[in-house]
Parts: sequence; structure tokens; C-alpha cells
Amino acid sequence: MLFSLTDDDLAFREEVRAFLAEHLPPEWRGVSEMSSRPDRALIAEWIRRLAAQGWLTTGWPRRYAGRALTVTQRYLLDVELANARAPLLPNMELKMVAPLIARFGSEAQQDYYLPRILSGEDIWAQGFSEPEAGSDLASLRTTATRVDDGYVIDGRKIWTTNAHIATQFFCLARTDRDAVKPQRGISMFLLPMTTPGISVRPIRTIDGRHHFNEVFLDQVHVPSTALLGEENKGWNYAKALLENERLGIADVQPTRVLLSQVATVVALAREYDRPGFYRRLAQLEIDLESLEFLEFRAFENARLGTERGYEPSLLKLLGARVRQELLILGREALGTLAEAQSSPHAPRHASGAGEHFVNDSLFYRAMSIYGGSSEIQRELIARTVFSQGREF
Amino acid sequence: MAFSFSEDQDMFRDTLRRSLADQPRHGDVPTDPRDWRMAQMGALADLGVFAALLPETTGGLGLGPVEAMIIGEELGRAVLATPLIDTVALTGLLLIHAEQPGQHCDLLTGIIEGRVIGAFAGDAVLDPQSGFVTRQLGGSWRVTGTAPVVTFAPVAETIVLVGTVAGDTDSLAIFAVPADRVAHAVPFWTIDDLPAASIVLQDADLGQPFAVGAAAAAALAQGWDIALLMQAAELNGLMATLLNQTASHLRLRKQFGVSLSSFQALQHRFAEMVLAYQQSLALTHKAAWLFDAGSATEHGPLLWAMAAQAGQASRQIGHEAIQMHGAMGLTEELIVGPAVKRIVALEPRLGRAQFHVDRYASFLSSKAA
Repeated sequence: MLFSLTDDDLAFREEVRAFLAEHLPPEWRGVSEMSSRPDRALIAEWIRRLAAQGWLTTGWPRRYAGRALTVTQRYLLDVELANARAPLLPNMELKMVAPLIARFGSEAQQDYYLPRILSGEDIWAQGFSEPEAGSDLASLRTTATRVDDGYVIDGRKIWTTNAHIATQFFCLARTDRDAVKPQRGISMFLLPMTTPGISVRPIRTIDGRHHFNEVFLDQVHVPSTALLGEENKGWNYAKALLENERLGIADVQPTRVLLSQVATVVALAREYDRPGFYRRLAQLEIDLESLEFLEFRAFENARLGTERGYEPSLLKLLGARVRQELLILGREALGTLAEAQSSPHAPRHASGAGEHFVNDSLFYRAMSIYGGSSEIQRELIARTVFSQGREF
Repeated sequence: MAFSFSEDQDMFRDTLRRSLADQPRHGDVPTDPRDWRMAQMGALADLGVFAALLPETTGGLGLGPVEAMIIGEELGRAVLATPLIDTVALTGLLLIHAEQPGQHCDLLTGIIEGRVIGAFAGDAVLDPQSGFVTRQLGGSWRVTGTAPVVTFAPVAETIVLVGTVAGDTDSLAIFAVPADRVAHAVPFWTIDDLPAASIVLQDADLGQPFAVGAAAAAALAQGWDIALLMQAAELNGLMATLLNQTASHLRLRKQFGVSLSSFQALQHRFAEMVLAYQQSLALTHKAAWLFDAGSATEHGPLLWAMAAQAGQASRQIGHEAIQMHGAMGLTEELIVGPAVKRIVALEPRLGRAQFHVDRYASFLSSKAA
């Protein structure tokens, strides 16, 4: 038993387990660990099944809220889903966009977008970064100019994950060029990807897959109802979103699944390599154990209002490190087999795994860059400590 | 939620922190280690620190792992090197497993009152190849071997001695020996200014062990695990003090006309110290709470994870604290120097960080096999 759980928590866990036994088909287990991305229709159906239980809408407006899960229960749900190797849920829609619209959106925006997220039919892309605005996001240059019936958006966004398959787009654009601080002149907009004037250029990454895109916004005309919340408050919403993102961004449960995959590969490594690999695996599992508890406590502290302020940065920093090191260990343990991706002569344990570890170990270099790079996180931690003067 | 401190535990912590802050840290160090006396023993006994973990049947308070952790952490914060772990966890808690309860009544009372110090010669727990070999010979047991560093041996009333049973390295025998029956070589000082001695035994007749085999394992499962937990907690407390001291130094110290805390190289390294500390604290808290819930299978490996992280983090934070203080960090004048010396001395006593990582690694590989 990991936690001393209340009777309610135990009952909830039993409920989740019973649900998984009945509603998670065996052939869906492990689909997210395969080299190819799982089928969108399958993910949509999986979201619908979980939504039907009321488990995905904690914190949503009352008319949508299925069940108000406690922090512990949400944690238990994540753990059980990971243990059952359930298809990974899309964080962008469920953990970022939905809470954002639930908190800051108008009733009309909520009524339109939230059900579409719960039915799995919408895929969202986030238009924040620009060629000249990466870590220094506030210097973004995309503009939204007021016209009679709304706004005209002009600019370029880059590193836009999933823009090539997305149905919806949310982006930051400058609405006041003369604001005292650049942060105060930015607004956030929600618009369909099919809006005229939007074009998408794919950017291939070194893992050989297609995640990123460049998005061009050329005289994109949107109605005033596309504005999220108030004009020039976009930076606050983005900050709330990134905070939200950062608490979950350590993405701990998938890392737990990854650890067991790496353990399988290490167990099959050449004998003289094994002790060294096990030592590294042990170190990473120790880090992961601490990460899990730090994450759990961060959610607790956020609920109780007792956070120190730098918790999300700790999680992000450590979460990226553990994920990256595990992928490298998996790649190394496979040795040259890692490169023999699709060789028919590759042993069974290596087939698929090789592609997975090589490609992901390359792609997840991104984890210490996106959502605030590790350097930004370190600076945030130090600054918070130095400015608060609170004792350890 | 079970992962929080009770009101009583918070009060206990506050009382300890306040009282320990008032204690003078430096006493006069005598020339001869045998003359070492800890000025704060009486005060610690009055605070219930020695009674806390011993069962109520022996006159103790019967508190558990969470309180053990709180005590350890507060002693660390105060940078107070005490014989608590050796006396309570590795002597008292082991002795309550003696075959005849009541046998060690006086000793336990002495411990609770802060009059009696225990020492622990237990290298065999870490490595059956080192430490003592014991052999049953008719009605008595003979013990051979060397324990190079037994902290508190020169001032202890009783020495708890662990050896492997000859011909069966998986089996341990634990003896409680009056200190004057164990001839030891010249006493010396450890680097954290504690008295210590080597114990060298050649076919010595130590009477009967108080626990052998399964009974010894059961005794160690309590005492040793509590000791590990207290040690990690003490390291956490030392780290907290070093972090507080270093943060305030970086804020106040100016060079090139600006505060050191404005330099990015230092900010980033400081952030890594915070992360290492928070990881250690997280593992220690989790281990203590699981231990408290009586979940032996879960807390075992978690204790190794905790010990590994506490060891690594404390070394990192200690060395970085010195670096960031500059030459002042090398002196005895700030708290940094003594805290780092305590870390360096304490960290390997129950197995170095690398030892615990390795143990965790063999646990993982045996799980896979």
C-alpha cells in the first residue's frame, strides 16, 4: 500500500480497477508504448469512456462537473491508468485547454468547446512561441488589430505541436503596442484551424517524426467572441496555463511506465554490462520515487495554499532529467540493436523498442526546452528563494 | 490524508526546534576522548528525546518512525552531534528484543534518563566479510575480528556488537557487552569531534548473544531501520541549515557592487541544491510514513532510496555551501564548516550513498530475475 488511504479513496480505487477490467480492452493496453502514435479514434473513444465516469471534469463549471475528485483520487486515477498501461490521454486538451476555458472562458465558449474536448473530437494546437520569441515569450510580435466586427491577426508561430492535425488553435497576439510593459499588451484568442488565412508548414525533427509546425497567420479575421476573457489580459491566462502545465508537465506516470520498459531491456543486456546499467537504473528509480512524492505533495500544497512557489519548477526540472536519462539508458542497453530498428534479425525484445528508444531519446531532448527550459526553471527556483527569504 | 504531520507532531517539532536553538553548540573539547561529556545530555533527556522511541513498557514514550524523523531533523538543524542514534536506535531498540525481557531494565532506564551511552560495532550488518565472526563453543561464544571505528566506544557503558555466525554468513549474532569487557586500543577523535575507538577481539569469550539468526534479523529490522531513518533526517536538517545560511550569504554578500544572488551561475547551482534537498526530504518523509503504517515490504527499498539520496544530496550541498561562502566556508567560524564535517562523518556510518544505490540495484535485478 503506497498511501494510507481513507475508505473513500479505497472505494474509488476499486471502482477504477473494476472500470478498467471491464472497459479497457486488452488490445488497447500498451498502445501508447508502441513506436507509432495510437489511432486518434481509439483515443477519442477512450476519452469518452472515462468522461462517462465523470472523472475528467474536476474543476469544470458546475453544469459539466461529473465528479469532484480529490487530489488523492486524481492521483490514484493516474496511477491506475498507468499500471493498466491504458492509452495515454492527451494532456494538451484535457489538462491545459479545458481547465483554461473552464476558468476564463465565456459561457458560450465553454458550451461550445468543452463538450468537444470531452467527446475527443477536437485536437488543439498552442500558438505561443515565435521565431523571435522563445523563452522570452513576452517579446512576441504577432498582432491582433481591432476591426469593426472583431480582430485581424497577423504573424508567425513556430514549434506548434500537432498544428497539422489540429482542429482548434489558441494563440497569443499583441493587442496594445504601447502598453507600459510588453506583458500587458497581449491577448489570447481561440479559433478554428480552418479559419481562412492560416497556413501550416511542417518541421521535421531528428527523431524522424512530425510533431512540430510553423503556423502562418495572414490577415486572419476572427469575431470578437474569439477573444478569451478580457483584452490585454492574455499574459495572465498564459501564466495560469503554464503553471497548470508545469504541475502536470513532469508527466510522471508515463515515466513510470517507461522505467519498467527500460528495466526489461536492461535485464536482457549483455552480462558484463548489466551491473553498471542496474546501478544507473537504480539511481533513476530513486529519482523517480522522489519525483512522484514531490508531485503528490505539490498538488496537496496547491490545494491547501501552502506552496512555496517553486514547486512546478522543481517538478519540471527533475521530470525532464529522469525521462531523458531513462531513454538514454534504454538506448544504451540495447546497444547497436537500438539502431537495427526494423531488422528482421533483431531479437524480439529489441524490435520496436529500438525505434522507440532511439527516436524518443532524441525527441525528448525537447522536454528540457518546452514549457520553460531547465535554465528558466533554475532561475525561477533561485529567484523565488532569494526574494521570499523564507527558511527551508 | 495520512501524509501530513499531526498536531502533536508539529508541537513536538516546534518545542524541539526552540529548545535546541537555545543550546550552546560548542563545549570545551577535552584532550582525552575518554573524558568527553555532552553538555546537552540532560537537556535532551528532559525534552524526551531519549525516551521518545523506546516502548512504554520500559518507561519510554513509545513514539514511532515519524517522531524519530522529527528528532533527527531537528538535531541536524541545530548541528548538534549526539549519541542518540547509537544509544537509542542501535542499543536500546535492539536490546528490547533480548530473550529475557527485563534483563536490560537498568540500562534502558539509564538511556531514558540520559545517563547511559551506547555504542554500536555493527559493520557485519553492512558487509558480512567485515566485522566480527562468532562461534559457539559449548556454553559460551567466542568472537574474533576488528571494528576499526566504533563511535562513542570510549564513553559507552554498553557496546552492542554484531558478528556473523561462523559457517553461516547469512546469520548474525548480536551481543550486548559491558564496555569494560571489550579491550580496545587507544581512543581517538572522529572528524566531527566525537570520541571513538577500535575494537580488536581475538577469540574473546563474550558469553551469550541476546539474539541470533531470525531473532537478530527481527531486532535489526527495528533498530537499524530507525537508525537509517534518523540519520537521513539528521542529514536533511543539516542541509536545511546549510541552505538557509547559503541563501542569506548570497543575498547579503556584495562583490563587484552587486549581491552574489544576482549572478546566474550561482542561481543555477543554488537551484540544483534546492532540488537535491527536496528530493531527499520527499524520500525521507515517504519512508517514515510508510514505516509508520507498518508496511515493511514497501519501506525496505524506500529506506535505501532515502539513504542514497540523503547521502548524495548532503555531500553536494555541503561542498557547494563551502564554495559559495568562499574561504570563510573553510573555517570553524561559520556554521558551514562544522555542518559539513558532521555530514562527512555521519554519511558513511550506516553505509555510503553508493552502497545503498548498489543495494537498490541488486533489488531491481533480483526482481527481474
